[in-house]
Amino acid sequence: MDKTKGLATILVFLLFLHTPVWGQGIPMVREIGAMAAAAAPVELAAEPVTVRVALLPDARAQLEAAVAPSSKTKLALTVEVMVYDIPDITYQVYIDLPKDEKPSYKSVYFVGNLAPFLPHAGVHEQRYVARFDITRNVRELRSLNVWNDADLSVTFVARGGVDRSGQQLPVHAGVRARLDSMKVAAITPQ
Amino acid sequence: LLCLWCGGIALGDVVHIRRSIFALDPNGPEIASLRHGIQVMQSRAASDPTSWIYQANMHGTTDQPPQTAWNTCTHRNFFFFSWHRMYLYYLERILRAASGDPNLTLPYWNYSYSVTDPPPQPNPEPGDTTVMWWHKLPLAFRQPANSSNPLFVSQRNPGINAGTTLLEDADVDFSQAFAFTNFEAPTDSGFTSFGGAPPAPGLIHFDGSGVNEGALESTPHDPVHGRIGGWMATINLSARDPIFYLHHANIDRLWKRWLAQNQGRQDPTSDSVWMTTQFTFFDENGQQVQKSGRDILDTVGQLDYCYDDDSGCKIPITVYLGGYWIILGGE
Repeated sequence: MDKTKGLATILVFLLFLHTPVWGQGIPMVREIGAMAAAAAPVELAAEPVTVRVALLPDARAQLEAAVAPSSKTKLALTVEVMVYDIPDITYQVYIDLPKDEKPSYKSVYFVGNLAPFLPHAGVHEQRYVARFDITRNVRELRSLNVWNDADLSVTFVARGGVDRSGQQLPVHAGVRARLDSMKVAAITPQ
Repeated sequence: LLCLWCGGIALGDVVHIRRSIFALDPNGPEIASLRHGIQVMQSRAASDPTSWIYQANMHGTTDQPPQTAWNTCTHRNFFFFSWHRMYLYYLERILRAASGDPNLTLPYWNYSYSVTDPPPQPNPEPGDTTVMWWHKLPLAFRQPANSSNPLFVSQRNPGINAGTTLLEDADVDFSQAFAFTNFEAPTDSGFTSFGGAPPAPGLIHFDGSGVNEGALESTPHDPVHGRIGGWMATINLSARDPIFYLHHANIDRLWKRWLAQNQGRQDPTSDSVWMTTQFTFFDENGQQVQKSGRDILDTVGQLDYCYDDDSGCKIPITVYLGGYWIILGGE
């Protein structure tokens, strides 16, 4: 009797763990763009790196739906990297950063930081997947008429901190991570 | 329990106030108590749950053999905030007992001030012309730069310890995180939220990917760990560095500031997994204790602490008289 009760309790607990607790169900995820396989891998080092993400032909409809004022659809940029070692730097991530534009985290191009907090030091090949909500960026870029429905570029800018006067400190040379893949998806709650 | 104020004298439990590190004199009694408490904890055997190393190993370690509650921190999921609140709460109690100072609290390091909204306190370093001095590692953690100072850790990024490398604005800007009004998102869904998603099965301690990480954990939490460097840069060693606790007190404070924005922002109290999953800690007597999300929602009512910038949180005026601490009122 006790064993049966115990088993039932475990089963109920497992069901409870797998019950969605947010929204009405599993969100619908539609991939609308990806880094070309031929472009991978890309090494992230001290110098800025820009990588193209090709958007699918039907991306435009997804994008328009996502940026509509009352839309609940979100646009997510997923970046998968292999970190070679714990970096003492942060990569700032931008989309569609113009060539002559000075990177600024306050700009419409900035989507977030890539600064994985990892378990170990000095251990090569630690996988990390970062996900950035780029809905606001795409909405604003489209409103500024600087958005291209065919593709977007993603720029990684290494930052090594600032000095006492607020000037950027140089980033020491060396590869810190390998960019393996990038994807853009439109995600809609169900 | 709340303080019971009676004619200006407090009866019952005291609400401890965590203060900005910039409001404390680096050579004053609060920092002295903190240093003493850490020294006492560091002098204890590693097998003692109230020792510095045992507590740090609860966050993460590769030390063997594993002990009770080691490697139980939660990262990259929606337990990140609640676990670290519990962790700091018990560590603070242990420090208080170890120091012998019943008023000891963990300070917080608010690195997110700006040029247009600087700290109300002056730069604690006379003659220092650093523009955004609050981006420097706080002075008491850099000087004296030797083993006489338990707040100093030589393993950090050298520029951080020298005060010549500072955090960047983009490292500590929490506006993106604060824009989210949802605390949690569905697991592996692609949605982002302030507090993260429930962990994927079996990944409550640490999710190898970062897809369930909350926005505030992404920034400023992660970049500050990396920028300080050394022990702070890794999950397995970071809690050995005393600055860890000021960083996480600030993260805990930012959780409260996020909630205070209202407009739909609330803790995931309808999520029974978040509310009831229990975590193990040790109190100041070395006794094993458990807490879950529902036990730590109200820092004043349930945990007897607040932050000096919380609405209604007043700094008590205390006197030591006849062997007792007497609280006379609040500032």
